[in-house]
Amino acid sequence: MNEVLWWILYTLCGIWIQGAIPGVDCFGPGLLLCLQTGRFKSLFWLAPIWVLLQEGAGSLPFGSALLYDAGLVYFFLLIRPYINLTSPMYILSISLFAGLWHFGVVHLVTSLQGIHILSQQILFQSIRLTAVFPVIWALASLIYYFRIAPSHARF
Amino acid sequence: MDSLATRTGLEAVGWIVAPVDWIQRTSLDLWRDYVALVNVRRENERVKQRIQELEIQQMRLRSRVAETKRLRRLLGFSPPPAWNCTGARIVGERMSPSDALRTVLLNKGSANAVHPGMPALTPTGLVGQVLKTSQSFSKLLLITDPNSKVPVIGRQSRTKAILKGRGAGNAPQLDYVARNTPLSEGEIVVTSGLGGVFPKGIPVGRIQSIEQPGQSLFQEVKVRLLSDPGGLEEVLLLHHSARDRPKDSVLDPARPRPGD
Repeated sequence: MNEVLWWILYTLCGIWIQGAIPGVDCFGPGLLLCLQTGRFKSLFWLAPIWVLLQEGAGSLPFGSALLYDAGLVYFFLLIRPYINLTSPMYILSISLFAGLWHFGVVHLVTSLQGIHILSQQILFQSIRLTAVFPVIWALASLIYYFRIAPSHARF
Repeated sequence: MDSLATRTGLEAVGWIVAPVDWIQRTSLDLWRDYVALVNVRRENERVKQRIQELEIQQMRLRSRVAETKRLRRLLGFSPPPAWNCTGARIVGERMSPSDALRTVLLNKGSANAVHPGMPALTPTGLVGQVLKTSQSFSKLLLITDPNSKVPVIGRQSRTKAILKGRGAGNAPQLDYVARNTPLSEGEIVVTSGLGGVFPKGIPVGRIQSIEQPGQSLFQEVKVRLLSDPGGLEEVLLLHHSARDRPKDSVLDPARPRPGD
């Protein structure tokens, strides 16, 4: 399958999944997939689209999705020299970071803008995000490695 | 950037989600239409639509009767602006991790004269107000969100207060109700019209409980909403008749009524 087509389908499915399971993030795992396979060209055009979709569909002022994605990329670059990308520790630590970072970003943005939120609701959302993140990443990786770019397979 | 994200991101998400909602709704409708009694169901839908319109008219008229009695005693009274409403369907709920507020996605946007701040209601009561819009879609902030603040007034006691949301599953609360005000349990609260965002007289909820905290100057008043924002499928969006007017206004006098 053509890579561009794959990412378009991935984006469409991501939006549908996010609509069906409120609060989960489908584009973070995609971002990681691009980074770990070294597909920086894809990342270059996908990241702005995903940020616009997340920000536009969200109800917070602009910046929360951008900050969240930037944090994910930074954490990936930070742990990459120390953790083997095929190790379960890799995705587990990133998922945990994604949940915590999401909780932090929402609190930061809302406190700066004087928006009231219910911490308990954001906590549950972050837990859900942490739990679903590795599942989406695993499914996307399996399809990507075996159907889209078998040469990148590391399994 | 916020505006760009709303115009592009919200629009794109809306167009991607809408076909799925359409397929889901159409499949359900087909199933209902052909398995159930087709004509009875259609007739029922027409009658329900008519009832909804009449309920809204009745709601407004009931409020006006009480209002007129009071206003007759006043001189120099200027009548409140007229409001019209248009229907919108809910096509999605929280669509993104950055959707931290209690919102739903509506299938009407700025192309349908929907703009931020427009009140949304059902025939039973107020449910929220439009938060932001793209060309064809908009986000509705529900009345249960802690950022939602609605000026209300008791229908009998005429006590003014601010209704504040407390999240899903928690009864909204009336803020700034002084201890000596004559509010009673079971009383209906309606929008007061102060601030100009919500028209006066829309039913919001019924007083559920009143507590007197020890050292506070105010009472703690909880309200049970008349319209459940959790189970919404369609809403009516209100707009000033003097401003831009949608083509499919359900209260348009020129619009032919079912059965006419």
